[in-house]
This record gives sequence, C-alpha cells and structure tokens, in this order.
Amino acid sequence: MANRETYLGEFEHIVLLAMLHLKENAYGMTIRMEIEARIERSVSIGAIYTTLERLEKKGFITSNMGEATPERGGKAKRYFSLTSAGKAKLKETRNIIDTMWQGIHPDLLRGTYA
Amino acid sequence: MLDSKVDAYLPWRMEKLLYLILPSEVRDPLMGDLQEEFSAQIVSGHDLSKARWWYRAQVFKSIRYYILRRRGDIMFFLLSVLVFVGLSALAGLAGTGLRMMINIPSLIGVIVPSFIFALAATSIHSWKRCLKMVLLNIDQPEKKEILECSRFLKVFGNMSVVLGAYFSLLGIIQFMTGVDFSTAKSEVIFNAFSVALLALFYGIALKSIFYVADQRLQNKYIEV
Repeated sequence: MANRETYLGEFEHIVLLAMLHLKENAYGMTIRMEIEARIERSVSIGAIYTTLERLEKKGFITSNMGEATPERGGKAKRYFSLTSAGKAKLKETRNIIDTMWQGIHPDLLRGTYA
Repeated sequence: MLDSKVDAYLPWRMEKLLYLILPSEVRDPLMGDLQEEFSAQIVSGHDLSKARWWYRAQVFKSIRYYILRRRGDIMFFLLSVLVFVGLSALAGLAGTGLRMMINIPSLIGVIVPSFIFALAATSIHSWKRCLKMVLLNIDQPEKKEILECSRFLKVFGNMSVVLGAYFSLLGIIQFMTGVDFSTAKSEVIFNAFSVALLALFYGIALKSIFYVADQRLQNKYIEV
C-alpha cells in the first residue's frame, strides 16, 4: 500500500512527466510551457515552483543552479531533474492507475451502464 | 539592446511585489523565468500590453501560493492585534458605548509625537524597513538593521505610554483648574476624567502591540 506521505498528487504527477519530456532542459518556465502545450492547462509559475519544492522535499527531484542570461535580467536558472526515487514513484503511480483501470467496462464511461 | 528595452517594459511594481513576497531560494529562478517568457513574447511580436497583462496575471496567481504559506507566520501577529482591539471594543460596548472609547485628538496626540520621537531615535528610513521586517520576511538583514528596528519599536511603544500619561495628566490638570465643582454635575466631572484617561489607555494599548512586534522581530531574526 502506498505511503500517504509520499503519494503523488495529480499535479505532481503531471509536473514529473513534463520534466521527463524536457530531459536536461527542465526549469520553471519550460515545465510551465510544456504543461500548457501538451494538456492545454494554464498554470502559474508559482504553482509550478511550490510543486517542485514539495517534490524536492519528498526526494523525488533534485535541483541545481544554472546560468544567468541577459533575457532573464541576469537571474540564474534552476534546473530540476528526477531522482531514482522519483522515477520509481512515477512507475509505481502508473502501475496503480493501470491496475485500477483494469476491468473497467467502457460503457461505464459512456453512461450507458445500468 | 533588446534586453534593456524588455527590462523597461516589465511592470516594475509587480516585480517589486514578487521580490517582497517570494522567499530568497526561489526569487531569482522564478522571477528570471517570468522575465524570460515575457521577453520571448515581446521578441515573437506579441502585443506589449497583452504581455504586460500576462505578467501581472502570473504575479497575482503566483503570489497567493507564497502568501498562503506565510499565513501562519503573519496571521498570528495580526490575530493577536485584532483580538486585543476587539476585546477593548467589547469592553467599551459593555460600558457606556464604543463612542466613549474613541477620541481622535488623544489618539493623534499619542501616535504622532511617539512616531516622531521613534524616528528621531533611529533614522527617517528605518520605519519602512522595520515594517517589512515585522510583517514580511527580509533575507538575512544586518544586525544593525535589526537593532535599529527593535529600537524603533521600543521607543515608539515606550513614548506612547509616556505621552499617554502626560496628556492624561495635562487633561486632568486643565479640567481640575477650570471646573467649578460647586455647580458642575458629577456626570460631567466623571466624563471629563474618562476622556482625559483615554490618552493613557491608547498609550498602553500601543505599547502592548509594539512590545509583541519587537518580540516577533527578535524571534525571527536573532538567533539565540
């Protein structure tokens, strides 16, 4: 049974998947844009950062400071990457979701199931 | 060239707001990300006013997460002040009514000179910084700043009590020397005494609030 403390929330799940898509280029802005482009969900940069901080606290991601570019007003980037615990948690979450989906009759979703 | 232009287009008030509210560890990355996306919008030919509205919306949507996180920190202080003011108002309502507890000249007489005395004891710019230190989080302020803020709060609080007592005594002396006790009604005499004592009441109330603010400041920034 999954530990309540380290259970992945829906948005945490989405952020981790966006980071996987971005590979080495995962930082606040790119994660935000990736989510917006893929699932057309408008999210604020504050929501991204508070989620990233929470994931880092749980040990699922790590961060390191990057370069400061002129278009950023000389402010440094903070790159994020998944830890092995984060990857394992993603797999576990996917397994849980897949298990729960097994045996669901499609009619249930169409609303025709009596 | 373009970068300096983009800098000038950024809504600077929003930037300042972000700077004040964000914790230091996310300030640079988050503000940099926002500026980078804003720059990208300008470069790709987006309408400037739309880009500025986008930036403002991002700031407002983002700061709520950090304000909520700090809620516990600041709310207890505001709550303690609110409870104190509320109980005082309730005491007034239980007696002769709230109107008797309010005397604007006494309040001004206590607050304004106390504020000036506190500025005189510290510096003219210290109170703004002090307000931020008490209500928001300032990153690693210098020891001199903390001590100056603490001194500002102490002088403000202490002078409020002293001036409150001073104006109360002044009011009582003025009244005692001016009233004709053989003709004045007892109701008028006691009302005049109450009004004279209001200055002392305001002074003690302010001292209580500034004492808590000073303790909060020391608890936040001075390592024991």
